[in-house]
Amino acid sequence: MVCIRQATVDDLLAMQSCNLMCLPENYQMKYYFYHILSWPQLLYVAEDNKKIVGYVLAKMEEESSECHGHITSLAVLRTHRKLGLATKLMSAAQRAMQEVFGADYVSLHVRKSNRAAFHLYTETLGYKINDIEAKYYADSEDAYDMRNMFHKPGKSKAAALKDKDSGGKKPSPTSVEKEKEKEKEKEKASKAPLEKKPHSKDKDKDPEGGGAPTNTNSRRGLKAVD
Amino acid sequence: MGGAVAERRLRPLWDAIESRQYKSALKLASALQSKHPDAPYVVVLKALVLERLGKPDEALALCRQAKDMQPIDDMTLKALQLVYHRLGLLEESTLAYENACSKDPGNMELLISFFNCHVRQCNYVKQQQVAMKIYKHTGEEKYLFWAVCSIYLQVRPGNAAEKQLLALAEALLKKRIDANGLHDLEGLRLYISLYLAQNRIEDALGLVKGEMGALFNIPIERLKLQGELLMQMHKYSDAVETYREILSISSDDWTAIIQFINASLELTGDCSTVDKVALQLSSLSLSANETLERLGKVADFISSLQRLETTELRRGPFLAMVEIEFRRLLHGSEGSNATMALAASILNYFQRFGHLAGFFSDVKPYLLVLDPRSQEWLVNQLAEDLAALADTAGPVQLLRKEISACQVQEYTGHLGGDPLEVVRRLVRLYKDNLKYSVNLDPEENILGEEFLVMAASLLVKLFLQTRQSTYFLEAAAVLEFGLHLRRFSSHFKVMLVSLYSSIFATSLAVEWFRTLDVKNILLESASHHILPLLLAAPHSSALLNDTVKFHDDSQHEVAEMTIMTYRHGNYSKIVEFLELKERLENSHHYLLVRVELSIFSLKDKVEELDALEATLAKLENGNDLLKWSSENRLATLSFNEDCESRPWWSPVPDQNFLARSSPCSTQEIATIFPSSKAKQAQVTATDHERWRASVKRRSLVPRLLYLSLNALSFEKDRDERREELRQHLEYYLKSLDRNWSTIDDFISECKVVSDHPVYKLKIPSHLILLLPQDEKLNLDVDAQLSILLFVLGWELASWSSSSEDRIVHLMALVGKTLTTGVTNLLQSCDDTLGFGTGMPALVKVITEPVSWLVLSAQAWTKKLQPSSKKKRRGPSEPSEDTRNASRIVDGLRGLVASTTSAIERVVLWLTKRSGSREEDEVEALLLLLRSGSGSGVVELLEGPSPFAAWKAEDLATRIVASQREEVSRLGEVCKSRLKILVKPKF
Repeated sequence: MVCIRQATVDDLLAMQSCNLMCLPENYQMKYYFYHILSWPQLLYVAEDNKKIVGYVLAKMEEESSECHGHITSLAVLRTHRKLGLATKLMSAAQRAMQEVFGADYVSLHVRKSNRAAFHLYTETLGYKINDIEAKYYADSEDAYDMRNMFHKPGKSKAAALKDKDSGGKKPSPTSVEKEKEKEKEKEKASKAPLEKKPHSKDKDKDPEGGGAPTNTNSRRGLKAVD
Repeated sequence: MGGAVAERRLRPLWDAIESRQYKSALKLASALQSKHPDAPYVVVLKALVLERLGKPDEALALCRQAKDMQPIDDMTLKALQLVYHRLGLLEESTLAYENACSKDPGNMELLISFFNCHVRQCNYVKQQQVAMKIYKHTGEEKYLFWAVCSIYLQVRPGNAAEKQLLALAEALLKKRIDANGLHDLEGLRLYISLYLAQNRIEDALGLVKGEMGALFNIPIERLKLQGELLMQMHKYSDAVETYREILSISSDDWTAIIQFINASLELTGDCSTVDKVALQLSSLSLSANETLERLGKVADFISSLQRLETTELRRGPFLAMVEIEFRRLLHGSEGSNATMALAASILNYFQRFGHLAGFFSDVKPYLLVLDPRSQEWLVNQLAEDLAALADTAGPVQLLRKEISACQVQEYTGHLGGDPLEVVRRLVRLYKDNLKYSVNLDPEENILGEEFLVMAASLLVKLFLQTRQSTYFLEAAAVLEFGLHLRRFSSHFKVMLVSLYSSIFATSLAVEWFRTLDVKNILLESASHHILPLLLAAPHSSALLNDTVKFHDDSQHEVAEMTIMTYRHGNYSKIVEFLELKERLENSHHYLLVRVELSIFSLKDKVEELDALEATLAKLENGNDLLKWSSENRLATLSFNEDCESRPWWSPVPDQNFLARSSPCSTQEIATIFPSSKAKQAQVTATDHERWRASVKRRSLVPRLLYLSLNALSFEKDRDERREELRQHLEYYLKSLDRNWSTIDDFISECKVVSDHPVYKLKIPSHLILLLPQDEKLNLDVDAQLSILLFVLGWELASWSSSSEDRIVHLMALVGKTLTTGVTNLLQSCDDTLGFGTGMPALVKVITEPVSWLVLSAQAWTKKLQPSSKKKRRGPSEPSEDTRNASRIVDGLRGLVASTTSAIERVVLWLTKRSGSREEDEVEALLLLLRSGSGSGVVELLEGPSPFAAWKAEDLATRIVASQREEVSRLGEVCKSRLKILVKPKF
């Protein structure tokens, strides 16, 4: 029987095995590490008898004016489809985006051809098409850029939390610092490209930095993703 | 200083480095350096370019130069750190930072970089000191957490530091909180783990429940932790309340349901699977009546959860009823009524959720608890239920339920009737329902793939029972058919990889494996599907190098990732991450691959003794590998192989029923199929022990080879080396469950036979020696040969006039073992498909022991040849004169002659085999596939289908082509060995 829980670093191994049985998405370890070590609250796995049968990988975009989350990857084993797992995983990640980071909305990319995933996002989860990104994927397929606006109550709840704790507590005091640090990093990067090098590699896998990851296979079941 | 060079002057150099134009970068750097000889930054950049150009020594010299200039700007130091990191000299850049920090003590940026240096080196004590320094300067909470986390890492299990350090960490946090409060959830988690590390669960609980617990932004996470802690404290009634609360927020949380039940029954520990609950039985403190009463209350609450209105698809509260019946059976109720009640609850669950893909895996753990009568009842009920639905339910819904019912039948051994008829029925079910899959997205599974899996399994089972090739081929055909319609179905591929591996259709196995796209960490968890095949091959393959590269890369990345985690303040992940790092460093697979790559590097040099000796020298004459697999290293090995995805007939990589040479009994098969599938997921400690012994055995090979090759060359340290050889050999034997005396007896018994009068007529002994009838050793040919060869090495190292008889006999025995072994293996290869151990074993024999044999013979002959500088190059001992080298030389000649004839025999067989016409071989396979001797499933597969047609001929053609490829590859290896043997030296 499946349960949904936050991912641990150790789960990465099993998550990759899940990919083996499910989808060809076989990111570099660094990419998973980057997510789980930066936003551990946003990674959830579906576990069935000690076996990972699905997961969602998400992150925060804190640099833009509106604080929003982004679903990087969603996967459910073919053998565990149609059990509502994708919905549960997405809800968990979205809830964390709102409650931990006070996000205004969540975005994701999905292949135009991926009907099953598109259906899930629009019908079940309430996403709307925001834009179409031409040739987003490595195999030149277009992507829908989709968004799901969080309802105000969610936000005000996070805001209320802020106020309640108000010893200066923000939903994530670190996030402000992170932003600062990121800015710093950027500055440095412009100064010394040598430092950028290792980071920029990271960014290759980070869709915002380097476009779609190198996934040439067009088959991608219930996967959102970049 | 670095700042002395204007940015615009640096930019072209940066750009060149960015775009990896290192040659032009070097020119630019040199030009800048001549203009700014005192700028360490330029020196470091030049070092960096040189390192990238593969000139580590020059790079290092420049790094030293830059370091001696004592730079204090972060930019130069960071670049320096980068180069030192790549050169594997982390401590150097740490020193550079230390120096800079002492010169500019108020510079926080430098201190943070200095902290990062210690993170890279995993020096937790230094981390703590530097973090405290930063905290004192800045007063920022975050740096206090860095220090506390560094303390926690020192005390972590496996690290020796004193527990009282935790008290220090606690005091630091307390002081901070009293003055400023706590504002970070990760900080709170850190605080909690300090308490847990001291086993102060109550204090930890106090934090969770207290004011600071509000930091948990997701309330349910807080409740879950609270529940866990309460369970650990055995505060069951509080735990029951907590889990009720959790379930009223999230009623489908299975872990919470199980914990709720456990708390109600006052059970602790992990009770999520059937086996474990059984283990917990004895610790049940409640009476049977009390248990049943509480289960009644649990059921009431769960029923109320079932009635909650929600749009969510929830199975938890419904499966919980099955779990409750199971607990009733386990803890209280006796007799068959209880198992019937459990069966009835499963039937209930089927009626509600039988159409879902998760049904079978949900109820699987409970099925084997049922007694045969209730199993049968359940199976019949499922069938009735299906029949009743036939008119009302939609066809897809019905099909899904039929799959579930079939899975239950298979698992409980009720897929009865004539197995051939069952196979046909399953395939028909699949094909007849294809029409419902025509409109599915190409990335969706075809409905009913489970039927194909079951059919293939049954065919493999039939093959194992009868060893009839037809069944084997039919199984492959069924799986190929499935992949023909959906190319991504991994479970089909995994089974085919195993099937093809066992018939020497290497390229087919490799092809399917490649489509699994195994890379990155999957190299760790999934390589085992193909590894045995790759390791038995004559040459190394890319996958092995990929594994090493993956490990090297991730070791490099880990440090930067840890630094990032500190920056983001996710302390709980740092501990997890370091654990994963250690898990990867200690990986069994990684060790195995490195050992095998070393052995491959030796096999590649077999043709030239000098080249081989040079390669051995690179491995410190085999000592490197001994270090890799020292007892300490072996004890800490981690096993990351995910064996759950393996086919049932080979539950672990070194156990494969297909490789048997004779039919398996029904009982034997029953131990692995179908119902013990549940156990398959758990690789046991015994498996791990065997793998440890096996990797250790392999790591001995280069050293044994070295010692054996040089058996006649050791002089002063002869006794020591001989003793070492014997020790390694004893370990080698032990790892195969044999010992020195078994091998000694074996050799002696052969001696009796070779005392035959014919021997006295001076006929070369290898021609008349017979192996003892009772083969005490009972080892694979390659293992037996290796052992005898190394024993021969040991005997030669101990050569005295009194041991000459034994040496000569041993040489004859080695020759005889080889010729007999080869003959037997060739015979077993002679059936249509070359099933079983035949061909792969033959390859093993030729590529390893025969290669070592050829080399050893070469090395020993060289030493014994009268043309050598000394008359006789034996060890300079007084007994030298009494030894008769010509006897040994004769023995060696005999050994070379039998080796030659054995290899020639293989070549002859291979030539004959590749001489047959490809079309005839294809025809023969097709005949098997289409003859009436099998289940006749191919006819069904080739029949009309709404998808593209599939042809059995393609399959037969591919198998034949792949096997022929391997045959010719083995032919080449044999010929290369022969070439050495006919060299005039012998």
